[in-house]
Amino acid sequence: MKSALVRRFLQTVIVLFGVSVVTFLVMHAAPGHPLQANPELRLDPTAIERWLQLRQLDQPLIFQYLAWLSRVFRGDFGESLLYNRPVLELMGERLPSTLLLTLSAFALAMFLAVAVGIKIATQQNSWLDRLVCTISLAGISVPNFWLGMVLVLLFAYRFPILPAVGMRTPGDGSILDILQHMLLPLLVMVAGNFARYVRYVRSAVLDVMQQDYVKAARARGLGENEILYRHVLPNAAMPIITVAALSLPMLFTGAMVAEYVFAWPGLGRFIITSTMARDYPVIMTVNLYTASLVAIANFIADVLYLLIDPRLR
Amino acid sequence: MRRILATVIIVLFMMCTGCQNNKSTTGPSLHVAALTGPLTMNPLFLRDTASAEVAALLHPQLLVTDPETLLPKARLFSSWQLLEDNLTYIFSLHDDAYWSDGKPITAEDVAFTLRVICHPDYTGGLFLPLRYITGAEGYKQEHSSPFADGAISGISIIDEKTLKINLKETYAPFLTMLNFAPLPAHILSQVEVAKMESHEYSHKLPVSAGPYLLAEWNDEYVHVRANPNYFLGKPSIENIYYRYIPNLEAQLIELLAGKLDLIPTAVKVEDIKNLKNNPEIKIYHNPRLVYDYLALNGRKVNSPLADKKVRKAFSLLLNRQEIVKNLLLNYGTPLYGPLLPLHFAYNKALQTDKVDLAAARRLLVEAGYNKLELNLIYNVGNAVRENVALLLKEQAAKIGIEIKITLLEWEAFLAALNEGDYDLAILGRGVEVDPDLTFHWHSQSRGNSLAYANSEVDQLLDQGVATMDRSKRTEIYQAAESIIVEDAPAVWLYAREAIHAATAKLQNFTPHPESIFYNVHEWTLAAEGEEF
Amino acid sequence: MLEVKNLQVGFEEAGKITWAVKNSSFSVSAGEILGIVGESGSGKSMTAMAIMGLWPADAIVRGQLYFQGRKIDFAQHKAWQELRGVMMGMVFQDPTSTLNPLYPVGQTVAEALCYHKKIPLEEAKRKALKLFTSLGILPAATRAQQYPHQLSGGLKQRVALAAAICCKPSLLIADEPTTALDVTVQAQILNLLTAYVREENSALLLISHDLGVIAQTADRVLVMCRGVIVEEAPVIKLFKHPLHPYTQLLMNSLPRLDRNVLHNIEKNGTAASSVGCVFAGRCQYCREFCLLEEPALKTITENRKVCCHFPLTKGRSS
Repeated sequence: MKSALVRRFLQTVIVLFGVSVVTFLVMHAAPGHPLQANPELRLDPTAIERWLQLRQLDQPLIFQYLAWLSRVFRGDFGESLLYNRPVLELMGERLPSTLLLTLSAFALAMFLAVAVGIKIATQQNSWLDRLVCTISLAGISVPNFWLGMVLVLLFAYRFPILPAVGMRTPGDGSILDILQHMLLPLLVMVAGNFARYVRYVRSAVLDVMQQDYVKAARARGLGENEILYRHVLPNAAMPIITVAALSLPMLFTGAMVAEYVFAWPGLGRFIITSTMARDYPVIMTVNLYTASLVAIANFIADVLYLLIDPRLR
Repeated sequence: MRRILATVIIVLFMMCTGCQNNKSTTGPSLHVAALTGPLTMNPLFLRDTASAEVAALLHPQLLVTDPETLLPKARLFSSWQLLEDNLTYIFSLHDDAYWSDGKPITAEDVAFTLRVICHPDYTGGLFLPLRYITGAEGYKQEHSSPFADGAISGISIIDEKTLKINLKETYAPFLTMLNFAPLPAHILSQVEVAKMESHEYSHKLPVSAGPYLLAEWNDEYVHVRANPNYFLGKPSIENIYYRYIPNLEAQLIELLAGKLDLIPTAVKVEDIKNLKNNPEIKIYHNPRLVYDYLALNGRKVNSPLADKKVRKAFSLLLNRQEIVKNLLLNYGTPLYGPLLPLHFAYNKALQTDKVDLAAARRLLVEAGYNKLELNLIYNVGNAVRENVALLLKEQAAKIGIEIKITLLEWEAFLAALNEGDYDLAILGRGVEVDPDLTFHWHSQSRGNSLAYANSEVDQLLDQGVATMDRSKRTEIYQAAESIIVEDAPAVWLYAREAIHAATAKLQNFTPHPESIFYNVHEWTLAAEGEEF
Repeated sequence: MLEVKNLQVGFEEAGKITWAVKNSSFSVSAGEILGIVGESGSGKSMTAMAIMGLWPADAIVRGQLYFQGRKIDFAQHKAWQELRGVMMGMVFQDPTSTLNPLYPVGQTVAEALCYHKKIPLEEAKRKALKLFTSLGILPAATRAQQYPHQLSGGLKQRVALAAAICCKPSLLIADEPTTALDVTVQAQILNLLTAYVREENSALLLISHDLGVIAQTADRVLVMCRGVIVEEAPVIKLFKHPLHPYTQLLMNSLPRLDRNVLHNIEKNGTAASSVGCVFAGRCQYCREFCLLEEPALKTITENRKVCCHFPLTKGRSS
């Protein structure tokens, strides 16, 4: 167990290193740099050269990479080329609003999906089951973006009862205000995630319910609740945990639809604009961050598997 | 159950952190939409629209130009004087101009700011016009200290509020180039110039002197509050929120819902008709110093576009009046040369449409081409350029030129432009307030992205900046323009207007071609105190 | 003890009901081991599931069931809730899939005890250990802590048996309890089953396709073919003298030392027709009458019933 963890850790380090090298090369292979002469802005070419010099962006790639690596080992992830502020500080400022939305949406969607998924799995082919399956299919097929726009038009324009954009009314920002702003983006995200999760939960529970040990438990005369909670759910947890673990990195990298449609502040837009603008230090950090999140998510899933399933111990 | 609890805890935690910055708001508020947030608050390092717009709220420019005539106007410099030699300027700072920490804005602040711009480590975009100051280029090349200390010989402080600037040669556009704001020397003189951009001044902005002062800058909006000691008087609108909403539809909905008061510049022409019928919304529009053109790149090896006749053929293909009428719904002007109607040197006589396919075909054949295949690039997300591209393809096909269109993402588009990897490109360009064409058309200019070179034009442009008389300058620039047009390095298309939508309550909104917040200190909201 | 009358189990597909068990009637008494034989698909497992009230959700079940003199209504699924585990226990074929892989095996047994007897978990665990010892799951304390994947097939089946009999049910159904096990282990499990029946004087319904297992263990045998009980007889008489051609076919398919030819049971004779004898298509003695008229289960002698128009006589058996 311990050695498996150590091995996993070493693997992660190697993967992160690989990610950093690949990101670095790909990033620099793409044309341009953040101050690339924009014909509409009349930038001074001499100043841009000096700018590149001061940031050592005119140095050979291998030198730039090693310099970056040595800084990272000292815990310095560099300054954004666009904002001229530490990357970690910029990401740190944007993470809370992202997490507020993504974690609530995830928790709510998961909770509903598990509750409803179990319910409909135990009543397979009932009208409720069919209804939920239809809704979830619709939820998967309808683009979040479109749903978001419709909700905005409906609740912010036609019946203006909810704010259309942002996280708080400027100058307000009370809990109630933020909750109001959260409602629409949350609805869109929960709808999309619920539609996906509920199918996983339903099929996972159905799958387990057809297992012989469930039949055997029933033959032993256990009540339906005992069977569901003690025999079906623990076994159905594995695929659900996998899905949850796969979603984890996305929770921490932003909610693009919400950030665009509802102008919700957060990490996603920052990551996209930084990437578009070739903000190298940000791109490098974001990639390491995402790769670490994937590793952490997998690690958590592994530990959970170990806790649940004795066969893996 | 546990999940719900966890969510509630997270929510509460976020609320607490969110509440820290919450400052109570009093007085009328104006909510302004933006597509993106600013990157810096430092007035010397503005490279994007949002930063420039916010800087206009927070910092006073040394001089401004009149929104209509583009003639220099007093601002922080309350008056100026040009001596007989046409080289020496004497500027007086506004008597009531103070930094927000109570210190007066002095000639030393301005001198310090000029030294920063002329410092070798300065990476912003303001140096080019300042190289005319005596000693500025020497300072740029030889100054060895990392700080903006020492002196530039052409800049001398006469007294606390008076500054003398001496130019090494006559430079007519000089005054229009003083459109930047000074830095507070008492805060930044001990900061290395190379580190000034990332200094906390650039994002905390503890001291400034503009019509508004920074109250909060978060990842959702910039909140600025009226500067009670602004030297032109305290603005009547107490709070301005500059909110980043990346999606134009959402901006419109917020405007219609009364939660936004102003959508500057970015209103789409197709939305205007609806907004015009709304009594609560007022539409403003004004020309800008930006135009779109078709670049003809003859620098590629064996490019048929190296032949002037082929290039001239292109200028006979498009009916620009039709484009302005149909695609811009008349919110713009057709363009036939590099000078804009706003410029005093603008030549009305040049402005006639000459669509002549037969002549174009003749030119092509004369150049020795029967059929041609060229590629055309433009960037994603600009519907007007897209339509022009299709129109051009259609017209070119009629004279035997087949155009292959490649749509590029913005950064890739810029890279292709910089590397000259295209035949034709539709793009935009920003020009100076002064009609001086040097930056884009002088063969020695590094801003000459089309690599246009004509010694006659070079001579005229040199002569143009060295002449102070406006009517003489008009003649010079019109002469230069007709040579450039004759050489056909590009096909000028149109100058789009900026379209703004604002609440009808907003009064005195007079956008400048270069800045929407030009006179923000004079703006008022009709029904004061009604909102928030 | 248990009486089944006119049991029918069917599945509806596209408006047509296919019957997996057709009109079966039989009974078991306390202390008796009733074997049910038949090839796969003959309806023996479905019969067991119907008795346990565990038929699939889409199945149609009809008939009457009397358990200890009490009538149980097939329409009421809940009726079994208080019977299963307490009065009726069941052992399945594959112990690997019938034990929850996530729980220590001791807990599986203790859970049932805890649930039915309403006793504290600690006490249930002690009782489970005792049961483990008596069933030869040794050392009981260690085994109880182990998970199914850590036990051998035989031990797992013992655990499954322990879980089935922990509340001492008066009816035990064993559906192919030894099929997945080694031959040596088979006998041990069958002995344990027999011992339980003898000790507790309960009834055992032993379902198997293996005539050897049946011959060794059962007191009385039901032979099922295509959902129909074709023959019923005490075990010795059946093996000595089968009356139904199908029984005979089953026996002939057994490997025997004195014969070097193995008879295959040809399953796909003619397609099953809805009229006539269920075995007619494959019967070597089939006559035209058999194809037209469905035979009824009739009593031949005491304890012997056969469902055939022309039962075998001694002379005709090969």
